[in-house]
Amino acid sequence: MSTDSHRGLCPLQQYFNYLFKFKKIGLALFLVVGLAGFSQVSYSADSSINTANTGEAALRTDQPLEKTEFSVDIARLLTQASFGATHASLAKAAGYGSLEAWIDAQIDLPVTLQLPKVQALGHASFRPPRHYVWWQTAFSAEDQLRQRVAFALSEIFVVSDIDYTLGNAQHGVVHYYDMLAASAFGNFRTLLEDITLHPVMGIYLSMIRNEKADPLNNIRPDENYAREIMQLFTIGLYELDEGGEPIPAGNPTPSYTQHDVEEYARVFTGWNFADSPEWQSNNLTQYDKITPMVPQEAFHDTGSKRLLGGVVSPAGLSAREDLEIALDSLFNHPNVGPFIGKSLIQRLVTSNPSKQYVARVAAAFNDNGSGVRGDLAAVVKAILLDSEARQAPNSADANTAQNFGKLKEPLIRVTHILRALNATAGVNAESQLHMFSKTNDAAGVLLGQAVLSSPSVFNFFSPTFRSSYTLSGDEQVPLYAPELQILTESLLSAANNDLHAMLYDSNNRSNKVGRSAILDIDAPITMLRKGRDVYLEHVNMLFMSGGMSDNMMNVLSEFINERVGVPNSEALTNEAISTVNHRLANADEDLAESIVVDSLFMILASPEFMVQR
Amino acid sequence: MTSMALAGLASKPVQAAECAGGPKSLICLFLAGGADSFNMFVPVGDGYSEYRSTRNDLAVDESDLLEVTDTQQGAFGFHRSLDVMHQMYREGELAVVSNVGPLLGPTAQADVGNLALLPESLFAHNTQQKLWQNAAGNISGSGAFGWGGAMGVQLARCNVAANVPGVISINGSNTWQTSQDGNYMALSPNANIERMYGFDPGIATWIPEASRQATSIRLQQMLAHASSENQPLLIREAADILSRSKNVTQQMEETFDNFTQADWEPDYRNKLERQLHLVTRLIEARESLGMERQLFFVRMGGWDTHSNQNERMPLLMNELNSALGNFRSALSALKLSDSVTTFTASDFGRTLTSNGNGTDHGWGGHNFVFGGAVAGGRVVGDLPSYAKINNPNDTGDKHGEFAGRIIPTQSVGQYGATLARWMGVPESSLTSMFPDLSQFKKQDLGFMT
Repeated sequence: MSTDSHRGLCPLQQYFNYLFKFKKIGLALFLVVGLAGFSQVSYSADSSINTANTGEAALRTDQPLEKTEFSVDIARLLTQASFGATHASLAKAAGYGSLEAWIDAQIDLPVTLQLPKVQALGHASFRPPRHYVWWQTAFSAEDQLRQRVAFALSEIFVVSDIDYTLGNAQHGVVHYYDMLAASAFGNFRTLLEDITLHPVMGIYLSMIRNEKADPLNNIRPDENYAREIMQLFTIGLYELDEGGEPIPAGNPTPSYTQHDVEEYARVFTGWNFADSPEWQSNNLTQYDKITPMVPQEAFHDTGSKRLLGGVVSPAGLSAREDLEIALDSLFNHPNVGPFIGKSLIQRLVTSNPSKQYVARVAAAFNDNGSGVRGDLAAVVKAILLDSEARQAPNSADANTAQNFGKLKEPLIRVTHILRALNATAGVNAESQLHMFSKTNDAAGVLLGQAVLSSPSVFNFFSPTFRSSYTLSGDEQVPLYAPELQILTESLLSAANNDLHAMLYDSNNRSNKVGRSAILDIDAPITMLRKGRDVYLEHVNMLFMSGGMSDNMMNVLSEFINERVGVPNSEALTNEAISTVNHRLANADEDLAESIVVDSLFMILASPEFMVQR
Repeated sequence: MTSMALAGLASKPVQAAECAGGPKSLICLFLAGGADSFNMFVPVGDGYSEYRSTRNDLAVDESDLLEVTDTQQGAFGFHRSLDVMHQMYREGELAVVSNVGPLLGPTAQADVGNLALLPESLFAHNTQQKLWQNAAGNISGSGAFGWGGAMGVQLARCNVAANVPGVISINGSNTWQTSQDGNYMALSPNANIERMYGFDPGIATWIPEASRQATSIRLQQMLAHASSENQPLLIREAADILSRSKNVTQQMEETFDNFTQADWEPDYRNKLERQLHLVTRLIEARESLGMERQLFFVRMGGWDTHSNQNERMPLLMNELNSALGNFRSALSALKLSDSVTTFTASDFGRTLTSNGNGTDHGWGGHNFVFGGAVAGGRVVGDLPSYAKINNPNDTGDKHGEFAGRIIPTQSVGQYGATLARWMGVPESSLTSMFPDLSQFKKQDLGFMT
């Protein structure tokens, strides 16, 4: 590969050059997507999902959502596989006729790239554009499944910009994210190499300018990347069975030793920025953070290395030859399927998958049905179409039904609210690149989570985090609640109060200028006027995938009865319900708005809404 | 121990022995990532040349050290970025605890080849953070609970008057404070501590009262139902944390309204200082909160210096130093120094050897304990050897060569037990709290008065 050809190109051209690597998608498509993205510099409400439907029959978003077996299935899928269901996305997905058809169509959609938009909004040290464009993308991109999987991958193959070096390399960081999105349905082996050679990862886990040992000066290779690629990106700490359980149970065998770390550390020597002729410099700001790293053979350890699985990389190989052998040795380790499969299940579907579920996904990783190992599209389909993902909440097995699901990640809880209520950025929020929330720092500060800004390579939370409830369970089958690690008392109350402000002070009726997201409550008011149960079924589908408990439904019904002056002691008669509906149809605007805002707040602040099932 | 048993003990007429001595607060300051403490506190004089030769390009210049002496062990120096620590040491308020780390018992170089004699998954960040915080040597089973949480359970009877837990994290969930009863709260300096709108009808008064009353009542009903036994596990979790949030923020907002003295203006950019600022406010209010014993967890990240160590370490130490300086002054102004003890902990010490411009994951490292109750101005435990050849403290690598990873000579259990005793934890509870403790002759490291 020639590296000089990248010199002198503008960042956008370099970007396209880089993306030519991804063979599945053609040049023309890249230009269309890239340039369309580039011209769409600022957010406008017109680009939202309502107008994104290309060429299909107009979606009837004026009709309330109804709860059927199929509509619930679709709604649950969109909760797992998008940044939150919307009225339009539910209607459109239903049009595909099956879950699999929707997934296939999503996989075929071109990637929405964020770098061109971020570059247009400021220099590489300016942090707000990267978050702003991420929210914009989560909110309105058509390739929801790809973006959702990219977000999941960003929590497995973690880089974080909280240190100053990457803090000043925002364009490189967002390019890394675009790379995850572009590779989300490709092959894991390709992804592993792209990650390994990305200069942002090179900086984050210090593989860049890692040099061979210098015994005279008592210097040995940096072990950082060697350790984390094994522990976090491929095989984990212990030997695993196909269901992702450490073996042997109780006293599992470590999957690698300190010596193995040192051998792989020798492999990952001799890589530098593509545009850096020099090796030693502590100022990393000036170099290319987008083009993959290139070898500088003089600094590569050419001795033979003993790798995992009995693989030996013989003496005398180049940096790239050694790297290929080492990545193959990790890629072919039997742990990868269950390890990565379980990680993705936990990000998308449930915190506590059964061993059988993990094993089925691992099998899809090992062989996509055509003899190909590491096909991520096949893995994602296996995760989302698995019987456990689809049916566990109604399982006849009490434990399966009880333990299924996950606490929503704070970011995704908010993207869902904004998407479902067709949020637009207020004028002030948009001009200051606020992330659809009340301050510039809001996402990270109020939610405890901001994309690619986790405290360490161990992500925002641990996949094995346990709490007082999960801890009280059976120690032989420990239960986990990873997201609970960042749902702390003060963050939850802050997020609650932010939600309160958005609903009460910043909806499209009370505030049209806005320092934050403006929620559209006209649509739910229209549904409320169609009747109490019609409204509740609609919001149940929109926000809770039709899974609202009877109890919660009843609490909300009684709330509405009360607000229109029908005593709950009488509310069960058909006559009383007719009165409720009649009064809702004829309620003055203030009352209707008040009922909608109060009821939406209660739903979105409820414990049931915090959980995805 | 069940909560009923605890309640029974709490009702004893006279204050229990562990609660004697007035209010006390203990702060775990976790330096996440694995701090290179071998460059924070350095031998000078005779020991310096060996240190310099081994650390090579990463060695701190002698001229960058602020010298102190230990009557037994001779001269040492704090990195000049740590002048607050230096000052505290000279004033007898800070002890350096040498070469601490997770151990199953006294461990020699010959033991390193035998996994059964070693703590689990050495050198990995997350496992070693856990072992520091649970002192259990393993990460499964009861390893999920921390010794801070265990102390909280032991000392709960000192806080019977409190409406919120005295075990308080200022940096999210952590193993150290986790216990079977889950009785701790997590506050954040980043978020205003304010009562929850919608759940509390007495606030957000610009909203019509009918709305406020109705939503708070209905949300209570939803919470109650979601908490019931037959509900899915994670919905119960959600209801639990929501209820706790509601209770904690209400209590804290009311308390803070009455305490303003500790409200110094923390440097917004210094994340540790903002955490310690909140700690100070909570310590100032501790008696009003009904807490005789408080256990805090604060965290400072960024210490995983695999690269650019010579640039990054001074920045990290400056940030730490500045936060500690202001924290110390605030406690001193409130005349609370003698009843507040802070100790450091970290994933691990780092390799003595260089990887070119940084260090990798090690095992033992120095730690620092400070406060008015610390028997300070000394180095506790012998410093390990820094030699490249025939180093008895080195783990050694597979070929018997120098690895630069130092086997701890004092255990997390010994370190923790010394602190727990000061907090009033009875002797009989220490061995279950610190499983390795019984393996050591010295069960108290003597750095607390």
